[in-house]
Amino acid sequence: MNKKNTKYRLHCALSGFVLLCFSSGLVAEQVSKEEFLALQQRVAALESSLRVVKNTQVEAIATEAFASMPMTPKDKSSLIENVVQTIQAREESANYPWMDASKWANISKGMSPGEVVAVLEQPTLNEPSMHKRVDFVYTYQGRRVATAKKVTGIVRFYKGKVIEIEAPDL
Amino acid sequence: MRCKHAAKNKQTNKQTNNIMKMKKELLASLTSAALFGSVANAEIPLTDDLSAYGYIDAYYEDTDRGDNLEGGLAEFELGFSFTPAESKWSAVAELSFRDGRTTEAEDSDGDSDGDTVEVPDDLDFETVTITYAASDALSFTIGNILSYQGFETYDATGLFQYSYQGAANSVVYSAGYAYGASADYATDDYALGLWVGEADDSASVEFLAAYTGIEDLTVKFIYADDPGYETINIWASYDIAAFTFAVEYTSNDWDGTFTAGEERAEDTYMALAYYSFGNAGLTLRYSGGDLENNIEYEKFTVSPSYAFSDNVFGLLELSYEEVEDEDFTTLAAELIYSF
Repeated sequence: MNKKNTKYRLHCALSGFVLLCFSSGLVAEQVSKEEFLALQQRVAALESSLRVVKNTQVEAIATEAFASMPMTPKDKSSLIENVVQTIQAREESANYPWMDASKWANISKGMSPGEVVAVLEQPTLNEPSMHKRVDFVYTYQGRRVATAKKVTGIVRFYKGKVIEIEAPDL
Repeated sequence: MRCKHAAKNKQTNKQTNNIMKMKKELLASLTSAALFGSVANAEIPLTDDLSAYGYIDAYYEDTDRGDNLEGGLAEFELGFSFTPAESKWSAVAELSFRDGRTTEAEDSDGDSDGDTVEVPDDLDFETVTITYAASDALSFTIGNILSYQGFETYDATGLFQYSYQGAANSVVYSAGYAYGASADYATDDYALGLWVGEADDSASVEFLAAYTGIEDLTVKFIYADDPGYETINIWASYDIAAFTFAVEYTSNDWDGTFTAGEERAEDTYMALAYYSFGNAGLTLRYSGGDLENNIEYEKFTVSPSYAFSDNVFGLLELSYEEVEDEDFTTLAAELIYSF
């Protein structure tokens, strides 16, 4: 009987110890509201800093990477510019596929709206025109990635055909 | 009755006539993509699928018929187009706002009788439709749909001049917007359309056949049969160089319930020539015919216009009319901004 009691007490003591440890562990993982907000701010700041990997930083990374390469300063500069231009062109191509002079060269009078969209993609605006000899107007509008210069291209249609093209200054 | 604008009540001011105007731009949008190869929707994208469009129409008008110089905002229209790219379903909803004002009342001869009439503010639906495009050519539409009738468009944005071809700036077509369902089939060479609605517990139908198989030529035949009227409307337009020529014939055989006389047929004719000088243009129009009760009229219109941009259009108009033995002249100026 005594042995049984001792075993029972030992079991209770062990259980209580485990429970205490577990609960104290939980308490240790809790954070205050202030800590939570501070963490949230840090995450936001990190996300923000990740978002601003822009041309200058790309250029800086490229400069650092090519600094160790056995090239003349002129070659390095040219290579960096090429890399930056490639990145910019890729961004422009993704966001503004119509910002390509060669594509505008393929647009000609008599083309249908579908043919224009096949070359330049969807326009920024598709509006009817108040000109009696223009049914509707495709406007392509955006800013160059490298220079932030606003560029606009316009294609006018009458009876389903291109009748006027104003290519953007690219 | 589909004739919600009640062509029987010939109004003389622009504001009330706007209610009666025909609008063909929507027809182009919904059913005749093949006529011109593409849909001419306005578009201010609000989301990927939703866009807004509209226009503001300001005018001044002076008739030497007793009316004073009057003007204001003829209409502010705001439309929304919901066209999901991957869906065969689309929807359009247009709201039309018209400013109320006071105008001079007229007697039965159209002369001012010294009294004034209050034209109330008006907010109305225009096109409110749901469309299912079964294929590139075939579509089905239900809702508040515009009549197929008319070379002259319902909205001022599609007109070559300020006034309508009818006597005292009235519309000669028998139908405007009405609730119903339509089936439309359009190819590059032709288009067919059938609208079915309800009027006075009876069916009201309208049928369209259009031919566009010759470049720059459009010919349309519209037949409407309603408990209140039977209409035949035929028009053709042709572009050659900087000219646009159009001719139109409209015959309305009105039901006798609202006409006092025995003669209820109206036969009207219109011929129009427009010359484009680039941004500027000049419209010459002759119209005439006999109205109900054999009242004959003739109207001659000269209208220089100028497109200040793709969005801004202004015009002047001088119209000379002779209705029975009376003649009068109307001067008008109009400025439209579309977006």
